[in-house]
Amino acid sequence: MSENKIFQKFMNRIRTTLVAPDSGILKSRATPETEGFKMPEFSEGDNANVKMLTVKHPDGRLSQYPPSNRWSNWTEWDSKAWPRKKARTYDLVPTVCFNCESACGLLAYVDKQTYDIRKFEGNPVHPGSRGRNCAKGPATLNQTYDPERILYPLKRAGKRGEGKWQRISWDQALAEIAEKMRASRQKRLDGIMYHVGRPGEDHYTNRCIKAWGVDGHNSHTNICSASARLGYMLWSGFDRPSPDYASARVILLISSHLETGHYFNPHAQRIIEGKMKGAKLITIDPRLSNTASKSDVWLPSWPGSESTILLAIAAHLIRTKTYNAKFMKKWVNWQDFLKYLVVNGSTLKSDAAWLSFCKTLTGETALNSFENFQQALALLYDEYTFERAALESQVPIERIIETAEYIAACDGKLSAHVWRAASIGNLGGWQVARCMFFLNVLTGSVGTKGGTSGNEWNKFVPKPFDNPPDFNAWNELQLPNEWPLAHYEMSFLLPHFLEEKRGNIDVYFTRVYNPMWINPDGFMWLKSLRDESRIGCHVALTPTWNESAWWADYVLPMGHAGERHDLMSQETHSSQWVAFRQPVRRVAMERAGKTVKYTWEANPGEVWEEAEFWVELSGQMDPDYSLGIRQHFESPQRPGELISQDEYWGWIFDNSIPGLPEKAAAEQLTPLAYMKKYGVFEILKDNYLPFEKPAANGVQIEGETLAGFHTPSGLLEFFSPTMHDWGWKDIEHVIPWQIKSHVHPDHINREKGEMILLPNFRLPTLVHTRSANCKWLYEISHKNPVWMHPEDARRIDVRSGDLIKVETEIGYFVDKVWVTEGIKPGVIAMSHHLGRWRLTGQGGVNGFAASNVDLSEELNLHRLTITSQVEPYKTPDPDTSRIFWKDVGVHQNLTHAVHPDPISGGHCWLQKAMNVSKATPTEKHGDVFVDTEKSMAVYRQWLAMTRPADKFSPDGNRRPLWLKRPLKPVAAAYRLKPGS
Amino acid sequence: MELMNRQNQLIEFARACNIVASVLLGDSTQVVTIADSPELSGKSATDLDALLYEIFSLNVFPYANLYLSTELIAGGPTGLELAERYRDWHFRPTESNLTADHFGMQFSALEHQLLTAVEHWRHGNTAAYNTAQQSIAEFCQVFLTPALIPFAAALVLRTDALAKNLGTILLNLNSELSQITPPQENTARPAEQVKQPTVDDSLTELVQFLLTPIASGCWISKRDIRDIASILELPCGFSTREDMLTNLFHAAGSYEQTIKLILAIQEIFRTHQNLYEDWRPACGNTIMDRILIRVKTSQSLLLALEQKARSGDTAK
Repeated sequence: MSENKIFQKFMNRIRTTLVAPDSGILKSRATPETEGFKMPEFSEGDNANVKMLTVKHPDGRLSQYPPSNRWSNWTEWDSKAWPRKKARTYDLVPTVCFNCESACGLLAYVDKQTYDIRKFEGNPVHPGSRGRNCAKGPATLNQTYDPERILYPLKRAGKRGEGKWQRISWDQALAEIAEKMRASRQKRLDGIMYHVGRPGEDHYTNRCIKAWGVDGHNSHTNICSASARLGYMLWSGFDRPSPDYASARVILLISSHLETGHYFNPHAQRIIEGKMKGAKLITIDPRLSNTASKSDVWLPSWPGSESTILLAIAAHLIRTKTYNAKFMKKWVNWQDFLKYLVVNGSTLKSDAAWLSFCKTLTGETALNSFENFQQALALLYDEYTFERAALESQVPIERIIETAEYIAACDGKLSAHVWRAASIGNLGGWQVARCMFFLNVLTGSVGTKGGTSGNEWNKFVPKPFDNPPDFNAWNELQLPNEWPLAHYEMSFLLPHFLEEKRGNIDVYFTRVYNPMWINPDGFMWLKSLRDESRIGCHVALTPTWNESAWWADYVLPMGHAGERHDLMSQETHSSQWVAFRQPVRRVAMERAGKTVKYTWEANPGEVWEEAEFWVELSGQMDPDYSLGIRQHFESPQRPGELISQDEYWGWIFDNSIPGLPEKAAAEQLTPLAYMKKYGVFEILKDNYLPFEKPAANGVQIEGETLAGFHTPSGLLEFFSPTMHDWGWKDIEHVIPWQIKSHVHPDHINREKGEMILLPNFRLPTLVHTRSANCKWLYEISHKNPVWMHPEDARRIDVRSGDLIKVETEIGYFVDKVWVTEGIKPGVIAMSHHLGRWRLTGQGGVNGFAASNVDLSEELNLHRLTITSQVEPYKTPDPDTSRIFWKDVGVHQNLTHAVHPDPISGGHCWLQKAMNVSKATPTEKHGDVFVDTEKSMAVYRQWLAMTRPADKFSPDGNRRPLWLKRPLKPVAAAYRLKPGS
Repeated sequence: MELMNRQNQLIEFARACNIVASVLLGDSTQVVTIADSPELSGKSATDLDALLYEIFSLNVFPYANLYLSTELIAGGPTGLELAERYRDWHFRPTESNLTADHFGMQFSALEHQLLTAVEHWRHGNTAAYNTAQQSIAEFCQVFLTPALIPFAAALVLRTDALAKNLGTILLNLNSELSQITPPQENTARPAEQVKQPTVDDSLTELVQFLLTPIASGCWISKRDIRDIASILELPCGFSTREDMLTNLFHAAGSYEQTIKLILAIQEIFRTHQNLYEDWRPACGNTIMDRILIRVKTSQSLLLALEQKARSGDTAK
């Protein structure tokens, strides 16, 4: 049609009556053909669009959600067809995010005909996340439809790490692995090890391990929260804090919890809520994080000086008598401390006032005088002046004073939190948590509205139908003699222990865990993973490829958030709730009347879930009941048959969750049906001051028996008898005090070019190694340049984008530098998450997330070299052909020496950068070099600082009985072997 | 009889202006009138609504980006002059939130003035009738045509039939209206005398120049920018045209694709140049020469940028 004709027709139509527009229903378009991996398809619905429910949030914001009574048949316009109005009808199935440990609620939009998942949005009835999610939640969709994911069980076909895999059936995988486990279990009780990253559930797998009767639980805690946990544990008997941010008057954070830290979404929304009500936000962090930038006060401290700042604030409260003496007198074990001073007081300080005070501590009256305790506090902590804190932290004194004054005025509403950061960064980092919680105790902000509670008060773990007996075994590869107070297993030292031939492993499960990549000293892991005499069989349970899985014997695909059953509860605020993770396609299919026996039938490919896998595996491990295992996996309703998921969770919901059966009955549902429908149940709200409640087995206080705390004394232990009794008698160990960090300024010679490498800050959009198959998340953040202050950049003559070489105690890496005033001079920082790789010419980690590398090794010398960066590529997902980034970061952890804290056992992440220099022309981006002989040498230096149980145990046990372990054996297993 | 036909013709033009103004203002109820072509047969109202949204809200905004100051800032003297012209015509826009240079607004004003002319005719006020007709032709030549031609080109060069149809209709309607009275001579506006760009200008200045039709002679749409980004596999984001093109230049710099990006933009100008040559018979040499001078200025600039990029100096 010529142009003129178009115009003429237009004018002709103007001259005639206009025809009413066609209002017929659109025909569906053919779905584009795809090959290989199945991309989702969505059917067209003929229902009317449904109105959203408007919800007013506590912060005043309005959101809209599908009303829960319409979830089973929800129609909305297809967002991808927008602005066309194309109706799609979904079954909305609740589940729980699996991309961090917050357990935020998700709603999966499952197409009612194709059972494909359109999207994941927030579950509005979830009390923790309240319908909101961070970027990681919706990115579950990427993981589900990742064209490079592992879809079928794989068995190694060549040598370990050679990259040859054979697809096998689940039956074969179960039979072969069960046989190896059976053989090991018949031989010994420490030959099977389950090494978990983030559990993402609260009891299920631990119950399985107990049923196997082995000491086989290994965690990642010692590279994460071990030190903070120990600090809180020694005070209170709970090992993680639960701040009530939304009602706080002062929020004190070490590191950047608001935007990247622990429980990112549930906490961040409540921090903002608190701020909107007028709370002051104070952040201690050497790095200008997003949180720091939103804070009322940012204290950019020199790493390792955090305890000094906290104690200067404590000293201010003590000096100005603005602490809550009534609370302390009632709840602190001050009498134990006075008794300690009777023996040790004169050795603590040498000034006349102190010595004179110590002389007065005689007789019953003196030891029962709270005033004496108050005086002791004043005399002891007077050395922590603001001037000292300012000098050590290199923070302006007025900022520290301002912080102290805010805290002094908090009126019992101090919400404070440290989890990783300084506590896991420094030698003695556990004291950072002790010092921080000291401020909670001084201000009486313990368990109060707006204060800081214990995790156990705000978390609920129900009991299952069957509790196998505690095992009678002790695995020295997990909790060795040298670290009796470790919190928990010395997991990151496993390869060093294997190198020392302390033992070996028959069957090693890594579960959503990538030890070679995430731990320090990764080449030591590689040595162990490829050595069949150290690890007989490695089974990687993983939703996606990772570096360690490449060296496994079996790679078994396990599901993401919408592909598995788990039960989770987390201490997001002053409440107790449980949330039910579900395989959403399976649930939708079952609602439509389809029969699904195993979850892998409903998941993509043959992706399974651990919950069913463990049942089948355990059953096959003990077919004749001879090991006493199988009976723990049999149905209580169908004797002799293995339990189904509906039976397992149904029993718990019927019997173990207070209030759930009644709530379900009110809706004429069974408890299981209720949880399948809503995915969550809130048990308790506003659980403040639970330690003040009467309890039969509590602690005697002022004539009452109260619940108290789970410490040996039942009180808050300002003075730690445990530390004292296990050989750590000095003041810096028994009460909140500063321990000199391994990166204290005295240990860093800046004139020689030494710096501190802060390697463990997080990005809000990634989650360690788990997010490498999330294209949306990688589009947001994919590289990890080294942050460097302009002063340091000038000194070594580099500009942003230049390559620098960072030399550590055991090797070096080369990365680009980012020059910014957002980091303290003398400190360089690098994100924890990036630098994924796969061997050139082989598969593995997703192509948009991993550099291709060559690995060359000669005896103890190991090199990693990037051969090519990321580039676009073709898969059934067209987005992989649109990749625009190339640099996906540098794997720095390989070059980190292990630094096991001698007490908590936590890896002290901060590294001494021996030299930081401009890279030479022959040094390339991503180069990594490590000498594992040096690795072992540094390991031995730190090992020498420990105080082993066989020399220091006060009672012949390997470890204090009251301290936590993920799985506790029988008491007899705690006994040190004679002659050990 | 001839005068009666003339009156009817003005009414038809007024109605045409009303329809294109409605469509340009996003009223989908009128879109069916311009959708009469085989490619669009069978499209439902929802589909056409969606297409309209994609054209005007996402890709080719119906703003002239013309009436700017010499610094290319909105609200310049010509824009004020245009608003003054509306007042002279006693035209009071119903869409008070739109600026005067919105094409929908301009066609609404034309409709108003056409009907005014008809009213004068009906009342036998020949002088007023002639003045009104003259003002319509002048309005088209002075204000509308220089901006509408690049805009229509941006529509016609799109792949979807609705945009092509609309571009063609706008071009022809404007041409008809311009012919109501003989063309005026020397109707260039002061605002067209924009600052001549150089390769030493900042990226912001260069982007602003390229994206301003009165300056560059070309209406580069969001779709054009996204298409280049897609071909070069570079990110451009989804934002204003200015941000998107700026992002694209930054990304091209990061991935050493600046030369390819400049070549791709040159190709857009070459395509427009060819189209403008085809339109000479319909639009007349005077206006096309003026537009092609702008295109050539832009092409010279792009050539200089290309040479600079090839010499490795892309610090900007």
